[in-house]
Amino acid sequence: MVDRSHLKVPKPTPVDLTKLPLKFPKIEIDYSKCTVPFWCKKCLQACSQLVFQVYCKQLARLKESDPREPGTYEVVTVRRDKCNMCNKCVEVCPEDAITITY
Amino acid sequence: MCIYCELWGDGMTWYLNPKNYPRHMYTLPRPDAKPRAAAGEANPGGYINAERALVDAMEKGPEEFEATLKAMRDGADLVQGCVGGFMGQAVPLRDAEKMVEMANPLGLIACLCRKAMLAVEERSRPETTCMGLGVGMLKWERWPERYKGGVHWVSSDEAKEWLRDLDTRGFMHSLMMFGPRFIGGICNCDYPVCDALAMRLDFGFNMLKGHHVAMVDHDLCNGCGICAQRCQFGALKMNVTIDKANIDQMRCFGCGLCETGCPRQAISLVEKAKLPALQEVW
Amino acid sequence: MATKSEEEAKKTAYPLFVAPRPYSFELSTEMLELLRKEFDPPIIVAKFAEAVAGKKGPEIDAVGEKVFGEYGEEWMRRTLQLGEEYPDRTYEMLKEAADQTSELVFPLVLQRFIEIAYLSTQQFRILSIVENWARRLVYKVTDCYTFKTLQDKCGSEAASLLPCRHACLAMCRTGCQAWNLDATVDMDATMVKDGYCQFAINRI
Repeated sequence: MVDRSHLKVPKPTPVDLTKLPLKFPKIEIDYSKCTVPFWCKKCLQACSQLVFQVYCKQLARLKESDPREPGTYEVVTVRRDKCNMCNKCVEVCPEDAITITY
Repeated sequence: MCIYCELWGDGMTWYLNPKNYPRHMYTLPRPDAKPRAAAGEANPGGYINAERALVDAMEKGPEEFEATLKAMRDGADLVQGCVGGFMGQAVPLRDAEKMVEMANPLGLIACLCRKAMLAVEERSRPETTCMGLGVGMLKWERWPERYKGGVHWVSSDEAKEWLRDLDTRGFMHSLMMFGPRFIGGICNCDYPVCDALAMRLDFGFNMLKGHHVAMVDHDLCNGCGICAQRCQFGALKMNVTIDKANIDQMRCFGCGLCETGCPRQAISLVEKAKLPALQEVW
Repeated sequence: MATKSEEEAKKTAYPLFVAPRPYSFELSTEMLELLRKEFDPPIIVAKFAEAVAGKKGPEIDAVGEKVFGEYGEEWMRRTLQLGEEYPDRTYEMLKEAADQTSELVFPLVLQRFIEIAYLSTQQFRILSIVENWARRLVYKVTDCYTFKTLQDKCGSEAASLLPCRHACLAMCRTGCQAWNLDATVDMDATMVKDGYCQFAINRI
């Protein structure tokens, strides 16, 4: 085990703690409707603030997933702190799976 | 000296020390070894969950946020061996070129962040923006989902050309570490698509500043503003009053994009080691 | 019921780029066993003990150079042969990468065979590679089985002359010759002085 006690580990602080807690929009995704997000990707492309991210739920050794198969990928809201509630994702979603509340 | 130079530099810049790259090719399995689940299998959305947790904690309050951030900085969810949660470091083009000369093999791969953010797959070699380094890359077929798009092997000269091309397009270069003394990749990042950069600039961990800072020679600067467009960190702004570039060296990551983009060679990279007040700005 | 998007998705083609196959990325145990049978350290140490019986000082080293030198050459020759006969997916991928880049024979292909040579005869599970880049391949051997056997069989005096180093040196040289690499093989550290042996293959 390397001794790290002498190291001066940098701790940059971009977040102003005095302003917390902050309130962000709540974005709900209905996963029974949104099943092929990696193939569809309309919300990812529409969002100017890059709030959404998509990832493979079935990561496994020696296996490549097909994004056309329902349920292999899932889109999630990550950077809700950036959401400006422009509602473009709601408009663009072909399955009406997204709802935003504040 | 950054924290990793102190730990693993052996007197030189740590990423130019060949001892810090992946090395052994084979490990004989122990006879009593049990198959263990890889981190990715147990927690497929690892990176994403970390960011979500931080945003959720910001809604709860300062104590919750600090506790969540501390967990990230202690590296609980990230790679073992990364100090303070810093997995990557900004690297100027000239050092990235030295790195590809040293590391082998070099495989161009699709970027994970861009796949997650925009659902793009970089399937052909000209599209690729990431590079995997080291012997571990030879076993990439264990994770075909991670390496969707395949691996394109390149020689060090081809890799340099690839780096220069991406540099021209305005991507900043960074190294990625996947374990102690294990530099496993070179990324070409831009905010906000790159997760590592977004985490550093918005939350304060995951990418360390580089070993250089940029300086402007006002006699040569003609105020064209190209450098200001290329800076990913908001460190370089145009000083409108005198119509010259101005660099905030406290914010500068030393990626060198402004230097390589300047048509008049008015910007140069200076080693931080020569600037006493910047010794602890990482 | 399938959603609209699912039905749309099914209409398009999506090429999976890799057919998942149950590859083995590890070294073949059969190959390692074959090598161990032929080059197990106790066998060569017994041969050496017979040859040096009654000899002293510089004579021991001369005998060591001959006995261990020949052993080292044969060791690498057989490793090269068996290593090609029993490829694993890691090696196949390495060859593909080497073909595409016309690099990588040094250090990686050579490194593979050096790793096989040690992993088949020693008791450790990882060969500790110190550096592997375009100009230098450096590795170190701590906890050497050959040296331990030598100490037990021939006494610590003969062992401290480190006659067995000729085996490792000859092995590396044979490896370099196999690909016509212009390289020197040096010994940076010795078991007697430093507690581990370190070998460096430097490209000229």
